[in-house]
Amino acid sequence: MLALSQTSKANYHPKVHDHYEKPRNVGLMDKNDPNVGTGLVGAPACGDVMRLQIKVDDNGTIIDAKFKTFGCGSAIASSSYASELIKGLGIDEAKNIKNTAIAKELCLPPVKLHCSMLAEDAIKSAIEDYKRKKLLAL
Amino acid sequence: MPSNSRTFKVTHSAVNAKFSTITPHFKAGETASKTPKDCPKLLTMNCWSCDSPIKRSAIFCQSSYCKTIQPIDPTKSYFDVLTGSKKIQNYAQMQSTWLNKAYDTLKNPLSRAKYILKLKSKDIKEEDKATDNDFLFLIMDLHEQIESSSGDDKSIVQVKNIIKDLISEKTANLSLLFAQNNVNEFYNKTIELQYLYRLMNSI
Repeated sequence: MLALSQTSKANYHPKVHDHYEKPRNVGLMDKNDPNVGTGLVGAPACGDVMRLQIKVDDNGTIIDAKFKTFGCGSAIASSSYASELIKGLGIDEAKNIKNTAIAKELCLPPVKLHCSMLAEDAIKSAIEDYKRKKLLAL
Repeated sequence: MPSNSRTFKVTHSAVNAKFSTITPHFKAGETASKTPKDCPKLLTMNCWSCDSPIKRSAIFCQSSYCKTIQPIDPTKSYFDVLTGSKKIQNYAQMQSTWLNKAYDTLKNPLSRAKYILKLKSKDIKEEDKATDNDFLFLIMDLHEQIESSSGDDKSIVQVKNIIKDLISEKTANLSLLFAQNNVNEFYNKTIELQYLYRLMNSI
């Protein structure tokens, strides 16, 4: 992962910086696994892309999450934190996570709020993908 | 001048076309008997484009419907422009900054497309969503290829060529959509171009 330059480092909150330096749950799951839901979202204004995947057990609990984000520090931190947040939650609980919870935890400035929205969309999109797969399997 | 050149139409070659059609074309200074100060004709010229009489020092035609950029007065020295009043210097600075910004914005396909969207009041906003999923998969895949090929020049060149081809393709699409005035598709293609430029910048 590229190191942030000194100047941009100074602009990030320590919590963002921590997730950026040590991102949690980076990786890839098999998107063809029926228990895996894949959410892929992008930010048209800046060109960032984010993939969030969830593994759900038979009780509807998210037992694992993986993400991969190509974007700014705040986008990486938002998806890293989101992946931590949803682990252990039921899909219906995870669906209700709001971007404000992510933005608050990471102390995102207003210009970076859209990064937390991207993470919220990624969670929703992963859950939808999982549900769609389950419906198709019926 | 054909009527369509009165408005500032943005096309891919607009900048070049606009500048290349400017040829020095002064119609002043016929009377030798009068001193320059006495002769109002010497202080004016005719716009090369619409023929309206305008001040020799004008950078743009002063006619309200024409406003075309004017050639540089060859009788003027740098001192005339830059050692004039503070006000003149400021305006000269503003004109050149503005023109440079215009040139930089229009020469790059992405910033040009974004500027066109702004003119059409359809700017890409931070909170905008969408883009079709297959395209996002492609972008994600190319990002991962770049990441995993770090150090391997051969595969980087391959990915770079794929991105370059896609950029050319989208730019050509944008030209066509602009000609068709298809703003919604123009918006979608501009977003795709944004993702591609982002990819290119990450190499």
